[in-house]
Amino acid sequence: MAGAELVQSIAEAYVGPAKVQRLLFIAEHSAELRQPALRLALTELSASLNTALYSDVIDKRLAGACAELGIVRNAAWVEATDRRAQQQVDKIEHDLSAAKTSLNKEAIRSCHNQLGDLHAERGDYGAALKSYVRARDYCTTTQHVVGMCLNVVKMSVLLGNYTHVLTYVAKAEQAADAAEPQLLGQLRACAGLAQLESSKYKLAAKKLAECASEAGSAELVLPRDIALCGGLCALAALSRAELRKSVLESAPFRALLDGVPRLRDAINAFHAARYADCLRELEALKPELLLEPFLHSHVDRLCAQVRTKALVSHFLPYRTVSMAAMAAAFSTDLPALEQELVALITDGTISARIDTAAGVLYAQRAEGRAASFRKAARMGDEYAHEAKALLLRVNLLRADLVVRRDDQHGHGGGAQAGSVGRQRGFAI
Amino acid sequence: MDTIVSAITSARTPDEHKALVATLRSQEELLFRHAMSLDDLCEPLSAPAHTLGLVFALNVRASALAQAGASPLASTFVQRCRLLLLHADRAQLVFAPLEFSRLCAKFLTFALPQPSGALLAVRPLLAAAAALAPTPNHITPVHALALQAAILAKTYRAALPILDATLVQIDVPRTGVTAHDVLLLHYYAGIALVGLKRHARAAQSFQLVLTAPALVLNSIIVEAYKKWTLCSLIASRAVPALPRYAATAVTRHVRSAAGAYTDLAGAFASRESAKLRRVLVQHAAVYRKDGNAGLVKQCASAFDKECIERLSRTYVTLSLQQLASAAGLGSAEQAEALLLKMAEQGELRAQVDRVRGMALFADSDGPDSDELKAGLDARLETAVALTQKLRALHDELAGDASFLAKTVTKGDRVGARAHLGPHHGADEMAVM
Repeated sequence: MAGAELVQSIAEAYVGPAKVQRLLFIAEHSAELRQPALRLALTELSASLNTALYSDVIDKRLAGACAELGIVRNAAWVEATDRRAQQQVDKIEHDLSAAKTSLNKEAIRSCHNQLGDLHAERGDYGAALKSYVRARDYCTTTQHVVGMCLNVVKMSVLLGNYTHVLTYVAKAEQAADAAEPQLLGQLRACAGLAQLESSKYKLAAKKLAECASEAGSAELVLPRDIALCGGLCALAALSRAELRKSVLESAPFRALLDGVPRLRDAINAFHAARYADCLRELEALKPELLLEPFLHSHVDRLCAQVRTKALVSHFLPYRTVSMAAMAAAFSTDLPALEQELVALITDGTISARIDTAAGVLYAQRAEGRAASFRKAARMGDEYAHEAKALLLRVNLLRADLVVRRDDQHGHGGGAQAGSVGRQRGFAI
Repeated sequence: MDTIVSAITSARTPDEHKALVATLRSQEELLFRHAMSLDDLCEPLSAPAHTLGLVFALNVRASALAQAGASPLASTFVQRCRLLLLHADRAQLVFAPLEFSRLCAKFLTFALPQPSGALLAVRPLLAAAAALAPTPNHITPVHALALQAAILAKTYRAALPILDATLVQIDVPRTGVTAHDVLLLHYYAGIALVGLKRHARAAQSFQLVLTAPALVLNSIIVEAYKKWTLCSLIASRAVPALPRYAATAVTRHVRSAAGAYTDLAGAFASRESAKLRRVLVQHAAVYRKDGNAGLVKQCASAFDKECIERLSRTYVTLSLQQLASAAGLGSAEQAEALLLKMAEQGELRAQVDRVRGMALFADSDGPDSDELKAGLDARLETAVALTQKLRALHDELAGDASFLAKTVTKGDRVGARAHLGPHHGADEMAVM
């Protein structure tokens, strides 16, 4: 998708805080899309109650770009909005205390939720989170519980607090019944994003690949973004068999993937062992991936993993491979390929050795016997040493022989120890 | 004086020996007054029969010598001590262990200035250590002295009886051993093992110094840490983390006390030749001052060997030029020389093709497994023996109220949290 269209589509597809966050993210990370994204974000902001972010963007975060566009802070609007918001807060809090005196559970819950909504709209996600969590004691039905959990999860995602996400997703999944596929889908997507954020790509891929199109929500993450994150994680972390099972043969996720034809083609190419095609598609997709807030910091690592996996899978069935042919299959040159292979061999990812004279890579079937003998011998030595050390230590402690500052018997200590070597000059 | 002499010559039974020690201790003043004539007193005494008398007399004699400083007299003293240490009676030493180990220390001090004195001191001190120790597993203050003498005489092999013994028992009343003696013993053992080129075992020995119960850092521990770092690099090409049972006083501060060495370990682990050379040049003066220049040099060559080995695991053939640049060696000739040396010593299986300027690495499959298997059997036996010891200790400790009370209540103060729980320790060991 071309840049300008992308910005437009985000502006159309998302609502609320997620829309602003995304547009600002693009404005901050792409010089060429900065202006349109910024303009749309500010339009959206000035229709909301989020005066804090509005001021922050214009005065600090993107002050330069705003100046270029000739945008100045509308102080009167900020003041009026703040006042209006404060009135609303006062009103809800009044309602809340009234509900509390009359012990009306449902009213209390709804007041807390309203307060949470208001804080969320003001951009104070921390306060919103607190309000939503307070509503928890007044939930009477499972639906309330699931709703509360979803609210908390949304706020936690906006705050970037992903440990919270996982605990509340688990809570909601316990409470929810199968009758709410959309809710469950959204929760699953959030859990997947949380795993992605903590760099557990395999778990993220599995979670996200379970999502169907109804898992997207305009407030948080769209089906297309789920496909991007899930597809890339799957490509990087799942084995070929898993890739087929959980991605290619899963109809709902396939439908999602069709929204991102490039990534779908890349996955298909990988599965068909056409690695050069796969990597080319991925390279072409990269600018777009980098503009995805959830993926941004992981893109390079994920792409490197895909490449490594491709190299390993390519080499796996062979006993010997011509490096020239391999370089062609990965559209790279010999020295670069050799360097990559050396790195992989050194860290033990592939078991092979390189014949530079013939330009051939030999697979090395590990000879386990000698290695395990050696390992056993080493373990034996270590055991003997550890046991000896333990005996000595316990005996020292029993006799209360501990190195103390005022060691009466210390006659010069290590100064003496060190000087033996120096004075006598024995060769060590 | 005459009463003392008769007391010494007449004592035969253990009870009499005990009484003799009490007499001698109370009469030390008298002995001091007759210090110069003690040589005559010693003349008729024989080492095995009159061990106690000789120990006291020679101790006083040494104090007098330190003031006089006469050389021929010192040589007589050393001679007498030698005979005593070689033939001391174990049964009598039980009553005066402190005096005996003090005498051993003095013996070494006076022996060193004599021609080839260190060499002459090794055997008597070894015998003395064996005589003083209640069992071959006990540590005495004399052990460290014997090792020190062996190191100064550069006869590392002579120290093997101590190096190969399982020295783990402590008996303070019988041997007068202190924490300081135990540290020195393992420190010197490490140095002797370095002399024997057994770096892996040397590292283990230094590690025993680092893991001894300690409330403060002292210079033996710091010196041991430096040598431990170097030996680990030479033997296993990496510095392991200190065991978790090491005292906090050590784990927390020892690194900063030996910065030049942690730098070296860091450079080694980075696998960058240039970085290592830079550290070597930067801290050369420190290494020299610490007397570790030789070990550091061996570290540098271990690094080069490690590079070559890594390449041999990665490549089947590699041009010498590439080999040199990948391993950070100066030239292809240098790389070839190192490669040949390693191949000759059996550390690597490789060939050099001079015509094409290529190194060929054979499949690296270590030495024959028969040899390994024999080694395994030996190790199994050691392990079983040690496990039995651990079990015995465990049972003994479970019934030792004073030890349990001490480690449980004082545990934190002594920094013994980790070595606490001999239960855990023994069980862990048993299942390993």
